[in-house]
Order: sequence, then C-alpha cells, then structure tokens
Amino acid sequence: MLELMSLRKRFGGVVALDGLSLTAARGRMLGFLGPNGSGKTTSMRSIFGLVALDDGEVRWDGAPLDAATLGGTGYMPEARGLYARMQVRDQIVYFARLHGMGAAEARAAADRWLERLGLADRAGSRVEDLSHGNQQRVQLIVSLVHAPHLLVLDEPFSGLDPIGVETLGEMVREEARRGAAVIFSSHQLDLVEDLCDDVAIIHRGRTMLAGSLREVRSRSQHRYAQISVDGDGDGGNGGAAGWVHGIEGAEVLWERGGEARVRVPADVDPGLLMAKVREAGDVESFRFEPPALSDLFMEAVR
Amino acid sequence: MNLHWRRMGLVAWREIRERVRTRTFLLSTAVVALLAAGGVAGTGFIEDAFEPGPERLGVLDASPETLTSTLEETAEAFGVTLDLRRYESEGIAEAALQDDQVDALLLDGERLVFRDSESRESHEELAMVANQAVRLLRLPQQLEQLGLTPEQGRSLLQPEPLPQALLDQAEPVAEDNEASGALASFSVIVLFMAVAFYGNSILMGVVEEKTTRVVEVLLGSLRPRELLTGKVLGILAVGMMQFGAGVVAAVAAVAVTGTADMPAVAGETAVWLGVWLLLGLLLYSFMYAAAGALVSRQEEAGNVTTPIMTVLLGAYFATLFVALNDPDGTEALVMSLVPFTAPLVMPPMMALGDPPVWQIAASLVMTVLGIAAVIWFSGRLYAGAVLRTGPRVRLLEAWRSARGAP
Repeated sequence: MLELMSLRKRFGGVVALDGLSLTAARGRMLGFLGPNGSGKTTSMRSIFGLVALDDGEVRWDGAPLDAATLGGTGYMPEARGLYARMQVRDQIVYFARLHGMGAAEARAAADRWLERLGLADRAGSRVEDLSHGNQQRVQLIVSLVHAPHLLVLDEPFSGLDPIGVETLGEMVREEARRGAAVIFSSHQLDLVEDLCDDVAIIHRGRTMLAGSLREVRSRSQHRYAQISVDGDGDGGNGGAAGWVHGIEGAEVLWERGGEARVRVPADVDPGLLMAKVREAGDVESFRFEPPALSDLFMEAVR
Repeated sequence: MNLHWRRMGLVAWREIRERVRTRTFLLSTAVVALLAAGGVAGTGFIEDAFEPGPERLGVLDASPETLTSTLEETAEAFGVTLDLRRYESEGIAEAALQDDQVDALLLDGERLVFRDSESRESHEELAMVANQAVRLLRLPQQLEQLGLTPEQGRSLLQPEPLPQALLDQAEPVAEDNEASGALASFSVIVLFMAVAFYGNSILMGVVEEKTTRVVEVLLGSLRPRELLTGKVLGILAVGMMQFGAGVVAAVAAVAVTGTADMPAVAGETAVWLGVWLLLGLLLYSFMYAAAGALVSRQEEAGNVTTPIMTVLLGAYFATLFVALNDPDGTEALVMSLVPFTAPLVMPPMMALGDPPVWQIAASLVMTVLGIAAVIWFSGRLYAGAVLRTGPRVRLLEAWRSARGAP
C-alpha cells in the first residue's frame, strides 16, 4: 500500500502541498483528481523523491521508498520524456533493465508489449519518428514493462483519441487486476469514473474527498435530478426549472430549453420532486441519481 | 551497493552503445586512427628525408685490404655510411658507374672517378672520405722517407688520447631528446582536445536528457548520482576506446612502415598518456556534466562551459609555454600538483623524462583527491539542478536546492 502522509511543499511563496494525505491499495486503481495547480503533479513526483518535501512522508508498505524498492515502481510523468534518437525497442529494454529485469527477460517483455499495442513493426524506429499517439504508447510501455507493484501515471490519456484511450485504459486496468497499485491523474472525469475503483479529489494541496467511488458518492449530501419537460413548462414561475422553487435547498445547475439539471438535498423525496415537475408540464424524461464524479468534483473544489 | 553499480553499469552501457552507433563516433575514431598512423609514418618519413642514403664507392677486387679497411674507418669517423662495392675490372666498374649502381670509383688507390660534374658536387663527402683515407694510407711511407721508424710513425699517427674530466658528473640525458620533445607537445595537445571534446559531448548528453525530459523518467528509477556517474563512465569508456584505436593504429603504422626507430620512451609515454587521459577525462567530465545540468537548452550551453573552458585553456597554455620551457621550475612543480593542471602537465614532463618518482606519485595522489572532490561537488550540483527546467539555474541555487534532494 502506498501512503502519502501530510505532505507539505512550498515553492517560494506558492503553497503546492498543504498537508496532503492519501492512500493507494494494491490491486486497485485510484483516480487522482483536482483542478490545474492543485498539487497533483507535485505529489506524484514526491513519490519518487523528485521533490524535496518540506514535511510529510511517503511510504510504500510502511517504509520509505528507497533505491531498492524504487525498482518495483513505474512512473509516467506529465512532461513525457524518452530518448528521441534511441530505437523504440532498445529504449523499452533499457528502462526495463534499469528497473531490475534481466536482459533476456527485458527483451521478451518489450516484444510482448510492442506486439500487444500493434507497434511490433516500429520496434527499430527512432522514437522521434513515431506519431504523438504512438510515442505516448511507448511511454506507457516504458512505465509498466517491468510489471511494477506501484504504477503512477500523470495524465496518461491526455491527447489520445477515443480508441487509444480505450486500449491504454484497458492496459492499465489489467495492471491493477494483476495486483499493482495504480494511481493516475486525469481531467477526463467520465473516464476516471469508468476505470477507477477509488478516487481522491484534491484542491489547493489538500485532499478534499477520498474513498471508493461508491462510497464517496453515497456519502454526498446531494442528489441530482435531470429532467426534460415538454413545452415551455413554466407554469407561470419563469424558466424550465421553475418548479424548483417549491423545494427547499434545491439549486438549478443549468437549464436549456425544456431540460434542466438540479441539485437537491439527499433527503428530498424523489416522489415529491416528480409531483412538482408534473405540475410544470408533460415529463419527457426524469432522472434522479447520486452525484456523478463530475458533480462530486465540482462540489469538492468550489 | 551492488544495485548502484548495476544501474550505473546500465547507464554507462547505454551511453557506449548509443554513441558507438553514431556517425560522429565512426568519423572521429577514423580521424584519431589516421592522425596516429600518419604521425608515426610521418616521423619515419622525416627521418628518412634527413638521413642521407649510403655513399656507394666502387673499388677493384685487386685493391689491397688496407685500402678498404682504411676507407671504412675513415667513413665512420666522418659519420658517412659507406657502401663499398667491388668490381673485377675497370671496364665493369665504369659500366656500373655509368649505370648509377655506384656513386664514384676509386681506381689504383689514386684516382677518383665520377659520372659527371653534377654527381661530383652531390658527393663531396665521399670525395673527402676517399682523399683522407688515401692520405692516411700514404703517411707511414712518407714518414719512413723522413727517417722515422714504423713505430714512431704509428705513435705520431695514433697519439694517446687526452685525459678527460667532467665538471658535472650527472648521467647523460636520454638521447631521444628531440623526439621526446615532440611527443611531449603532442601529448598536451591530445589531452586538451580529448578533454574538451568529451567534456562537451557529455554536456550535450546531459542537456539532451533535460530538453527531452527523459531525465524525469530516469530519475523515477535511478538516483541522480547513479545517472551522473554512469554517464561519465560511459563517455570515459568511449574515450578510452578511441585512444586505444589511436594506439593500435600507431603500432600498426610502425609495423607496416618498418619505422622501428621511434624513440624508446614512446611506449612508456603512451601508457602514461592513457593514465592521465583517464584522470583528466574523469576530472573534467564531471564538471561538464554538472554544468550541463544547469541549463535546459543547447543554446545556453556556451554560457556555462565558459568557466570550465577558461580553466582548461589556461592549463593548456601554461603547460605549453611555462611548464615545458622550464620543467624543473617552481611553476611546473606547482602545476603538477594542482589537479586541474596535473593531467595536462604531467604527460609531457614524463615524456621528457624529468620528474622524480615522488613528484609523479604526489601528482597522482593530488589528482585523485581532486577528482573525488569534483565528483562530490558536481554530484550535488547535478542533483540540485537536473530536474529544474526553464531558465538557467544559478550555481548557488542548485547547491542549496540539492539539500534533501534524492
């Protein structure tokens, strides 16, 4: 298990980490979320000792990560980095060996991954000759070719097309199934929702929300109703969501034409809500649900 | 510890592999080999050009033994290599002269025959030898005619040598002095160029890792010092390979051209040159690597290398113009003990054969200590700076931010 314990880091006058704590368990995928500048990259770098922390500690299985345990980790930094003029296969083999694999084993693993991602015919190409998407595939292979116990991916899917996201997402998912603790940061909340077991949402260097996806959802004090009503549905109250005025604590998130999304307190009776909507007009669709990850995100960072 | 060496070994191995594959490596190795072979062949050629061929003198078979032996002794005394050829008859001898098989003929012990006036002018030395030899042969007879006994004549001709004394009892300096001097200047140039070349090469490598951001991935599995040391060792290995190629080419050139008369010190000089090259590269490569870590773009590299280049150039010129002018002077002694200058100043001084053993030992010890200090110092700067992208990192900043860095 990976534990980040009360990490603090200040760059000049800017506080990057302000007592951030979180854990990531083996065999699970942790989606690491937060607005730009909230400290995601800094905390991920601190796992590998790439940031000199002002305070706090990073532990892997109860002990600080040292030269020996570092071999069992994989890291894909936000700023991608490969040797531009080195051949793809050589590069993967090199990083596999740096992480402790034997030469033959590393070569076999490199070939297996290249084959799997359809890059076998590019094994001898220089990295700089690959397309952006393929470079990113190689970068991901480099981070996990040695079957690490801990895999840290900083925005691994940014800039990929949907097919790429799907293949690489499945690859990473499999690493967790194999037993690795996987952390990845992303701004693609729906993707995180699809892939992750756990989430951690941070803001201004602190953890705002953390736990399994189901847990954090049910813990929320809100429910969300997304309703589509025929006609202007205004019933004299003004706006598509005019019916909201009858419910205490309800808030309109957005409305377009006859459709609206409304946040209500968790203890509101959906039946009552439905009745209110009916008064406004013919109901075309009605959804009442716990918060989506994007809702949780907005709740946490507002 | 094992793990560290394994990782450093991998870094070094990658460095070697990737560099050996480049065209630059092939080209520069070819240049080194050509220069080395060319240098050796050139030395042989120059020696040949300055060393005249033997003077060929034809005599008749019937010539007395005393004549030929006197001719040979005289030639030796004059420092002329004499090639004596015998012919059966005057006719055959003259034909040989006509045919340029011989430079001149000495007939009847009193006539010197040349092919033409041009040939006579170019063989004045031969004429001198022949004249002197004939004069010597005739002397005893002339002395007898003057009334001296043969013994008296001989003692006149071969007086007891003068007693000799030496004010300075020191052993003579090695005879290959001039060649040693050439070797000495040559080794300074080799060292200077090698250090500057490989230093820049490692600097570019470090900057490349920063610009491509691969350093961030690397340092996810390596400590900065492992990366730094591995890189330097890799470059060092490449450097020594090229040095080896140069030595092999030089040896091959000796074998092919048959220039066996390289100065006797050449072999020893080559070994020491290798040792000092290794030390010099170690010392300066770490400095270059740390400098590279301070910048993020190749364009800025010039700024950070200037101080190192200044030190290196200073050491180079001081060696050429101060230390080698007066190898026994205080300046030379100091330079041999300062780690930054020792690798440049010691090989030429040793080629000249001057420094005492204690000085060589002290110089080696000081240089190794200097290298240790440089490794420690540059390791810290490197660790403090290599992950910082953007504008050039100030020395002090790098030094400070290394506190607590991995």
